[in-house]
Amino acid sequence: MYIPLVFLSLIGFIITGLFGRYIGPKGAAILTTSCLIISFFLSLFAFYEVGLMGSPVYIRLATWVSSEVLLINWGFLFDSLTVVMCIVVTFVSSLVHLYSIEYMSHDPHLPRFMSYLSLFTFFMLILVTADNFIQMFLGWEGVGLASYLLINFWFTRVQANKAAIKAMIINRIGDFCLIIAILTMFVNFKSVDYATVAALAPFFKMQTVNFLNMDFNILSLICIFLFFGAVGKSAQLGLHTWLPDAMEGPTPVSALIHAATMVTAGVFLIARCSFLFEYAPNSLQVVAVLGASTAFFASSVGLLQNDLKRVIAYSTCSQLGYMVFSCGLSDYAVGVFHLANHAFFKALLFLGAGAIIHAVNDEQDMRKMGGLKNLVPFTYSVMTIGSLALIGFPFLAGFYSKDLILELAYGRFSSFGHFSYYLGTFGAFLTAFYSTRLVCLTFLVKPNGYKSVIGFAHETFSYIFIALCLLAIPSIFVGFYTKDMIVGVGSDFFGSAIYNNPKTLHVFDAEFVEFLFKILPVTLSLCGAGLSFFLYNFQSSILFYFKTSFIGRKIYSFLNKKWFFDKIYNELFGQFFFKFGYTMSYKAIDRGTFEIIGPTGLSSVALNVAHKLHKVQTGSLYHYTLTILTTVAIILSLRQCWLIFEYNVDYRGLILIFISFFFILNSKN
Amino acid sequence: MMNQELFQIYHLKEMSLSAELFLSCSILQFTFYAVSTAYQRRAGFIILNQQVYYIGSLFVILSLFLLLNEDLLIMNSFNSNNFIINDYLSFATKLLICITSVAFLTIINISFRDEPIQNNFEYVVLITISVLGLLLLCSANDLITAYLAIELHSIAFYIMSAFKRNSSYSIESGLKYFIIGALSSAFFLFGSSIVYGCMGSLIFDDLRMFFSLLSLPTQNNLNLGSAIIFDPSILSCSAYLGENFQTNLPQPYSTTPDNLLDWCFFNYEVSVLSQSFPSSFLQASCNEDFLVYPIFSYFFIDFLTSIFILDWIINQEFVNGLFLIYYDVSFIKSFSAFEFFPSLSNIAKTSIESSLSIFYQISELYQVFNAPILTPIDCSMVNLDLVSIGFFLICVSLFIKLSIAPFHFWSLDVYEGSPSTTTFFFAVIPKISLFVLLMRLCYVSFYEIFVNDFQIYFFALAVLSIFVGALGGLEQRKLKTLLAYSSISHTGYLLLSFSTGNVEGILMMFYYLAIYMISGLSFWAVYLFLIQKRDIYYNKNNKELGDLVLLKESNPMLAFILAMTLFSLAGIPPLVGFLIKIGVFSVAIKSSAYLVSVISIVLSVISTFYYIRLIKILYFENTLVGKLYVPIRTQKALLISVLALSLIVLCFDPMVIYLLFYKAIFIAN
Repeated sequence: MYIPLVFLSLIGFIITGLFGRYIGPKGAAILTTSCLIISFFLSLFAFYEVGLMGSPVYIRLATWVSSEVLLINWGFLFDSLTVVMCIVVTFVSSLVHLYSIEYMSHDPHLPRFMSYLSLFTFFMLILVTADNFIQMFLGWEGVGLASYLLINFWFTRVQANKAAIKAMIINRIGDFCLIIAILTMFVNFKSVDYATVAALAPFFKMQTVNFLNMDFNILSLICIFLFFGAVGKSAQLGLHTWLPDAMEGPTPVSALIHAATMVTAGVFLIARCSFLFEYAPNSLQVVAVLGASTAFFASSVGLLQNDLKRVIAYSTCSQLGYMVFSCGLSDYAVGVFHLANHAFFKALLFLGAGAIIHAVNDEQDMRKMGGLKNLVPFTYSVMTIGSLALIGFPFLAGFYSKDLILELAYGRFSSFGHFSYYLGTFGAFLTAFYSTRLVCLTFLVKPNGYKSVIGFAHETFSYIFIALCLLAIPSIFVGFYTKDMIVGVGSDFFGSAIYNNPKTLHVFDAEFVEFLFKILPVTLSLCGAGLSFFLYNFQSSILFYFKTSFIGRKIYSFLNKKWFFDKIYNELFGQFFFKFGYTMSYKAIDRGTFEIIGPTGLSSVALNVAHKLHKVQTGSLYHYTLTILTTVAIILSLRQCWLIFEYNVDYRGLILIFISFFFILNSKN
Repeated sequence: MMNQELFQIYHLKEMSLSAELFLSCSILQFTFYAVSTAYQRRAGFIILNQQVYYIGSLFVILSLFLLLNEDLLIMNSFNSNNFIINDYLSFATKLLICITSVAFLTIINISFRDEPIQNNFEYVVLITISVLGLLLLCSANDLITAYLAIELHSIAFYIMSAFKRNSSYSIESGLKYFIIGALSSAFFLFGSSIVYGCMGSLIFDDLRMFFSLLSLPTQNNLNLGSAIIFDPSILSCSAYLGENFQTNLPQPYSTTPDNLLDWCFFNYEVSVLSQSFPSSFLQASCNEDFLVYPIFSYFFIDFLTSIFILDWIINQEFVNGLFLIYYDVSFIKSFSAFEFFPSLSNIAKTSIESSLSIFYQISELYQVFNAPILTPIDCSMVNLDLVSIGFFLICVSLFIKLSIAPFHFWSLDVYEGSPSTTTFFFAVIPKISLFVLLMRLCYVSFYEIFVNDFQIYFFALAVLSIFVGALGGLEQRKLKTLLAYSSISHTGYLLLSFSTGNVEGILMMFYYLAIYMISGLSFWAVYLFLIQKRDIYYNKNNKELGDLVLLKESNPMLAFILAMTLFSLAGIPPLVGFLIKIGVFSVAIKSSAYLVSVISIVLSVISTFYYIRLIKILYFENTLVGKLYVPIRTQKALLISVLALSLIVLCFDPMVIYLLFYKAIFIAN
């Protein structure tokens, strides 16, 4: 029951990936999609049993690593957090599978695409259902791999290659930090089980550990590194640059991986490790600040992007910022709630964008669209629903979670809370602005595209239609129906899955927030939406004047160039590491030192010595006798000298001598 | 009547050195027979070619039979003034020497049948003489005896290597061997004279007793004897002893001989099966001393050493009874050790009981004069430095014989120049008895000096040998020289495990030796059986690597066996060579010789190169021109396949050889 939930997608991957050419595109599509749909129904059941009935499930399948000091099981832990994630993942994934059947129908590699999608889903499910950090890390790396494969799906495109490599490398930084966190945990807790670590965490509250010759609080250190891992995966400020570039992949991929599921893994990780974060308030502050900054930064950048998918990508980035800072303010449940809501409407937005792109002959620049309202009315309506949900229009999905986040942030009544609140609220204004801008530019303004393209724009009523319909429903209703269950005051839906320190619990504080601050986000959002609608539809000349003014140009290029993050990274780090990698690590270390100590040096030294040994074999007895007598004399005298040198000889010196011997022998050649 | 009485008195089983006596007598008679027959003008100079080999084999087989028939225990009581030791170790090594010599004689006999006829009966005489020398060397208990034995077999060797009278290479190698041998003898005699000058005795037991008394006052736990330190179980036993001595003492005292017998067997089994803690003092004492030293003179020494443990108890009145039981038990136990399986037949039991009475008397006899020797020797009385120099010089002389690295130069020339059969003999057989002597020197007599002062040099020499053996072979094109280098590197491994200074090392060394002898036999058998199809009268003895190119065409099975033997020598897993190599390394690592073992592992990797190059020449050369070999006969095929099969079988079931030496080592120590 629970095991097939996870492994059905693996079965789909294996069959489609290995035997795709035998079962054909149709077979592959049917197989993977049906596997995912079954998996979705299973997770519905799991949600009923675990989430609603409140009976967590723990399955230990087998032993993975069993050494003296380390025990890792293949364990699956289904609690409320996990089943919420399972629902989201399998629902979005199965719809994306369905959608891809049509979207990718002209691609000759459809089976490969479907198998990658299934692989991704499998690893994502492993990530969320793992009962220890190592297995979680397996899923974490697996989704990274699947993301790489899928961004690079059209591997003949250089842009896709670049984006894929960028995503891989930047994620590597985060993964490295995550490894450090897990290792620190293992060194100190001697275990990587969630349960064990959770039980031990309070005891390590005051202990410090030496890291890089400095003493840190153990829990702070672990949490900071865990968070850096999340920063990489969830595209928070600093390591966010890969996410917009990843839009080079096929649109269903963007919907599934880079909007709904994989990028939220960081938030999931923080929520999952709430038992650690709660004991490390300092690191929580870092989380909050970085999350709020991301929320603001990404929404400001999204304001002036022209690529349809990039706007949505920055919006994703910004929403992830909301989730992260809400976690940073100890409102993990709200963060997860926003995660789920966001997954639905963001997937809807992406899939809708995909439908638009499909309709206008793979054109992604919003400036070349416009007037599609009458040509693709259904897509227009779902995009509007998605955008309104994202804006936080009252009673749609985003309203319940985003406003709650901001309200609770203010209700924290701390400087970090206020910081987050103001950035978030202003970010909400910007979000509303660019979302409406997107809808206006695409659908409402006068057509700007080529006649031959716009003229043939149409929409299909097939799998894409079904998928969009099915996503539109939760985008509207999910917040309304589940808010009280998941984040309602006094709800114990998450039970022990999320640990909240009583000291930081502030659900009730939020009730005492002034009305102004409660209403401010939604008001600002509506204002932003209205302003944007007004400006882009009726007063585009004002915008034009503003854009072409001196300050306007500066601001425009600053925001359009994404705050110059990419430029700084490329020139400061990229170039430097390129040079370092070539001159130092490649030429000097790999082809230099290691080559001399390793293959070339070893073989040449060996042959050299062999040659010398051959020459020593003179055949003359004098020499042999001399060698014998000399050796005896040397050993006997060494024995006497040893008394003096005994305390001065370091065996490490012998190794040094050995290595220098290599160099000397090689330099002669 | 008379004959029967004589037979009863000089029972063959009770005759010391019966095998050696038989062999020496028969050599004399054989020489006489051969000379008188071969040079008889009247008979027309009969060519004694094959039958002398049969006769030689018969002699060795008969002496093997006598060896198996020997009753080691009883002989030890009648040995000739401590010049000779007949313990289990010498028995096992002699057994191995005889078996390999028989195999050697068979191989060369078969191979000589294809050779041009020449009257070379002296060769067999020389082989039997050298076998006699090696056998004597195995049971030497005295430096003089050892020297004489070394000289005996060396002189035979000199003649053997110069045996091909019409080849100047052979003469040269014989001369070189002779001169280097003289140098080695000089070292040996010089060392012995220094030892004698300092310590006044050349008998190994005396030297050992001397050292154990010397170290008595300084170290408390050394009462247990220097030899006992090797065995970890005994150390634990000594710790145990202090606590339980008092409570358990009355137990052995009150037991009757019958119960005692059963009890001992019980204890023996316990100590063999698991090195569990001894259950009583009696077992402890047995484990530690008397099981281990069945020689009668040892009884006395060990009694002295153990008397220091029992310091306080000597004054008490029941000491007489204790002594008696002490002797009896140890005697029975050492007797039981001779049975291959620890189940005794009734006959054995009765023989024990009959021999008990003798030992009651002897033990009482020794009681009388044990008191005055108890005074420990003062350290200032002897110049230990000088003794250690003497010890080292003796070791150097043995190293020269063994061709350890800086003393190895002669061996390459001698191996190359001598006739192939002689090289075969040098390479395979004499090492074991030299190592036995080295072990008696280093582990029995001079253990203190060996461990404290010279162990590191032994290690260095071992590594140097491995180094020379590994690198020297890289440039060799001649098969025999290659084998000489291979033999040097194998001697290095032997010395490596020898120098670890513990029981496991010695055990592994003898085990390695036995396996090495078997694979050497297999390799040389192939080498000797390769006879070219054309030019039967001009058969180049010194084969080059390239000559083997077409072996897989002319005789695929032989090529396969050769490849397998090479793999075994190189230490590739499914063959027994892997087992012994990994054993040697693990022993070295267990005794914390990390640097040494890492270096030798690396060098072992290098040395696989030339074995694998040979295999490459055998199988992967695409040349069509090469030498073809005549098919071999059934006898040869049988012999070779038995040898090659043993390489595989021993890997899966190495227990036979392992147990033989396990027992030998534990009894010797």
